[in-house]
Amino acid sequence: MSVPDLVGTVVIGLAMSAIFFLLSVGLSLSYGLMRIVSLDQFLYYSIGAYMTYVVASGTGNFWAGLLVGVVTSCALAWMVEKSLFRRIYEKGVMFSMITSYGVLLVGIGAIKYIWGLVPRPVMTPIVGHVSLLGTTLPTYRFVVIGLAVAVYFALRLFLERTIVGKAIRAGIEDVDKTEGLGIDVYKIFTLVFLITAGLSALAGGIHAPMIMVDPHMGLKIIATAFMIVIIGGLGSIKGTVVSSLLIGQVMAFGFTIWAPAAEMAPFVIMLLVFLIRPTGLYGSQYLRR
Amino acid sequence: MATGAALQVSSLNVSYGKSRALFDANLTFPANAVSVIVGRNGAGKTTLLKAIAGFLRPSSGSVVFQGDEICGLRPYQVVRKGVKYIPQDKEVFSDLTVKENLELASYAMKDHDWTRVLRYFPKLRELMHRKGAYLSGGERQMLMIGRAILGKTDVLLVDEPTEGLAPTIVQDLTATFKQLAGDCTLVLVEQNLAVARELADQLYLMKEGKVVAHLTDRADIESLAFEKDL
Repeated sequence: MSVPDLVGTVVIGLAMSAIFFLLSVGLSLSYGLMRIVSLDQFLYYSIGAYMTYVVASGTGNFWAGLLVGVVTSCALAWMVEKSLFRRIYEKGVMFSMITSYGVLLVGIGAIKYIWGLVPRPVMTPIVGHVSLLGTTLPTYRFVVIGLAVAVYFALRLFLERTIVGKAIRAGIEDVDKTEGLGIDVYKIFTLVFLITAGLSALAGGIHAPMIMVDPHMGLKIIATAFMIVIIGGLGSIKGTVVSSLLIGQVMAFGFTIWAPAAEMAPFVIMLLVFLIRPTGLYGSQYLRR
Repeated sequence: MATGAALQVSSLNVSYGKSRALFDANLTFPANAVSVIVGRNGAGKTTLLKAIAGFLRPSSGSVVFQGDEICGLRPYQVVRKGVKYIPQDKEVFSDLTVKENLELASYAMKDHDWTRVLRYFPKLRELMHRKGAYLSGGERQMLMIGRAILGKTDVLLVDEPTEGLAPTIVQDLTATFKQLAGDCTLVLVEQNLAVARELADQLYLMKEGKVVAHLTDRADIESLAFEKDL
């Protein structure tokens, strides 16, 4: 592989990692804190993409579309959390998985009804290119990477420096003991649910120009997102970052070298990680419910 | 011992699925007194404390705190009323420092008093930036009690506080509980009979989910007349 090809593949991998990170970090926090598998987050990912498509097509302003996508998804997530998840937090993981899968399927049905089955293109907000070590790459990919880095540092600051963030970290370790300090953990659950939905929508919105938005886009990315959560370790932001970087690069190089490897290799990585660290790369041994 | 009940438990029944763990428990915990509950493993002592603290939902019965029914409230609501529960596992948030552990307790309780905590446990001052994972058993117990008494505390429910601790730390803790008894109502589940004798203003014996004896006389407690039942 030539140097330009190598650089190009690494940057494409980093952009994929950025999308994976935004989609997975909330899932990791949600499972770590609430012990739920929230498959409806992939609906918010799709809604983020579709709202970006609608607003960007109508007004020509991609960033306004992204904002509308995040706000719409958070509003919908708030209703779903209040009306459904509040009733099932104390039930098993399987319960949340099936319920949220139902929400996802209903949402996909609604998307098909409104926008049809045909994939839709979304404008790229930044059309320039960057020359790097003999190759030319779209500027937008670097923007996507930068956005994910900014979200990472913002999340770190929030979790480490704010009292609500510390309550989330405590809840990930032991939700009962957190409530035992007088903290209404359901309020914390709602907040984390909304953060997750917002990040999912952001991932969908910024991913949209790189793919065609289609009703099943959420379903297509489920396995990869959960694989990243599991490899990184439940509830660990650092783990999600490392895992996203790993899977992004593995998939990018897989596509470049031999396409079928791109689908298979992430699962091989997951199995290898499980053999060495069953809790994931950065999963806490203290995690309990 | 002060008069008047801080906490009144009446006909409390708790089941784990089809298995009953607590049978018609009736206990009265007087204000600013030390009540000690003793009994073998599986006697229902922890179940009783967890049910009072809201971590277990009783199938029937009542828990009245200062005239208000608290049975069926969520744990954070019970805590905010001033009834705190310290579990026996001596687990603090391992990824958070001592300071962050205390901050979390003060976040929920608006009337937090850090000076009071550091007066009872001056050692916590030098451990402020140490993560919970690196504390010894005694230090963890200090932190757990410190977190509990940081805010308004009328009743402190402590589950086996001396279990697994070195004798010198047990002595220190016993002295701390004596001091705390002046500030709040203490309900201790304790297997260490020497500690139970030393601290108890009244003593309950539990067996197979039932309260089988209640001693209030100092001489009876000193002689621990039902020691053979343990």
